[in-house]
Amino acid sequence: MKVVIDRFEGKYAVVELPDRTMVNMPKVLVPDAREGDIILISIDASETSKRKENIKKLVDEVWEN
Amino acid sequence: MNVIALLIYFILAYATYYRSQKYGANPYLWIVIGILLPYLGYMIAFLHFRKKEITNPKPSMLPLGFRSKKPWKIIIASLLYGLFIITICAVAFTNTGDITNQKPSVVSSIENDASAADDIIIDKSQDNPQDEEFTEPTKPTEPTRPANTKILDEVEKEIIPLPQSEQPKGELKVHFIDVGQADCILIQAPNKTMLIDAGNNADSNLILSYLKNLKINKIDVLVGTHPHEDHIGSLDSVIDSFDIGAVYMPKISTNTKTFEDVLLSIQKKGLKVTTAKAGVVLDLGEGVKAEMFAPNSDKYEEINEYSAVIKLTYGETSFLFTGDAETISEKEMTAKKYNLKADVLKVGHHGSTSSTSPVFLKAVSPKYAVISVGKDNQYGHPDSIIINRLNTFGVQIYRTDESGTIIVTTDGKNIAFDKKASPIKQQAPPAEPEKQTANEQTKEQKEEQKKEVTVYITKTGTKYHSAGCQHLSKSCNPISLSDAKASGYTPCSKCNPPR
Repeated sequence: MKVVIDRFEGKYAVVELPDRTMVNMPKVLVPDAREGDIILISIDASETSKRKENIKKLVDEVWEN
Repeated sequence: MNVIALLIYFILAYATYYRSQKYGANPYLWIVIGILLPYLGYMIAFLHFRKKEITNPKPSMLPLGFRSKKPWKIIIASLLYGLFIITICAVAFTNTGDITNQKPSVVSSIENDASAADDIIIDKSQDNPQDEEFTEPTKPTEPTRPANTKILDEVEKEIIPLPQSEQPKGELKVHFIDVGQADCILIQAPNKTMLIDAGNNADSNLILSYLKNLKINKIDVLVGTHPHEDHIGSLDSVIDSFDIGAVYMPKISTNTKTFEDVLLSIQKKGLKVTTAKAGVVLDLGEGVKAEMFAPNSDKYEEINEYSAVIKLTYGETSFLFTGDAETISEKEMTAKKYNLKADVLKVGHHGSTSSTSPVFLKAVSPKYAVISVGKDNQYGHPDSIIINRLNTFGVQIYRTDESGTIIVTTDGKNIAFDKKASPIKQQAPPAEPEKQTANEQTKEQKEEQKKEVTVYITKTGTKYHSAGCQHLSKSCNPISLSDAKASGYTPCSKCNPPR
């Protein structure tokens, strides 16, 4: 999803969703962003499966049965 | 003796803090003047007298460092003393802006300035830049409305002729519509209508029904102060639904769909946008003067700074609508010596600390302040620093999160506030569209308005009065009857106010 930063207020970036709904997004999520910037929010499938595997490996090591 | 010394010590610190708040000096000045200086004075006195008693029966009155005849010692000492004084001055005046020059005269008129400050607020015919008020507090005041027009002619580069100010006929109403954490201000002049900003995206139903409820068909002047969603959110719906005379916006674009939709609506209607900038005069019909004081530059870092700032003058009463203009724009306006003085100030940026700097507030010297803000918003608006600052200046504050829609009526001489003209809207940005239907809203508004009876209270008294009561000679604050009762006020026995 692509969202647009409308403005910054206090600790939040106020972003516009594609349907013009406005949502507060913590500023820390978009550290270098400026007003008008478009933020791409997407699922990183390869990173997800990589991480899933790593954690699974760790679980198998830590569990006794 | 010690107690008195301590008292003086604390009073000095507080007084310095108070003055710095009021005149825009650095607030940390109170630490320097209130604590460091007396302490230093005490240390020097202590050393001086001890020396006198123990070692030297005839002490040198020269400060340390100048007692030696060696030139290098004297040079080092003078450098150090100089550095010390410069540091204090730097700390004291970092934030003062224009006021720096006036500081000495302000201090010299300490006894007068409380009343002088009152004069600024009360005397509407006084059109000199407010700083002069302090340098010459006794300067005779004369009605200067024509002179004011002259000054404006010099300032404005636009060739649009000024509407002739005549005696105001009829009433002018300013509606600060409660759109939560956003701005939407409707001005009903006797013959024309202006809308400044149009709330959030989710406010379109609310705004449209509010305007239709007032039987408005045409908006002669439509202003989008700056392209943030909490100011232009429903501008597209307004353009689609009403006849529009002229559209004013600062020439700055942003990438939101909200803004794009506003532009598309303008295009679809075959309208053209006039750039909002300082010097632009808005036509609101005879007897109403509306001019822009900002933006004064073409380029700013923040979109808020592009905010169109509008001063509206009707008869002897005036309003200043500041959008979200922040300190940089405020500084430009005070530097340009516009006549910023106004009875009612729409507080900039929902009461955030980014706006309403002391220098600017002093230039405006409002009697009333309206803060357009959402209840329980997550941005900390309005900031307590701004509320304190307004209180320090003796400004009466109205907030849409406490009162709902606020309607101000003026006949050109008097200003009357009708708060609680609507139920209070919750915090924004809300994802939910307005669920309240137009009919429900209308009914509620009418009922509320019927119920509202305004009575008046004084600063210190415990009774409420009807308008014109002799007890109101010193102070006179309008309040709704229900509020007065709820706050424990009882009816005055002399003027027999409504019960």
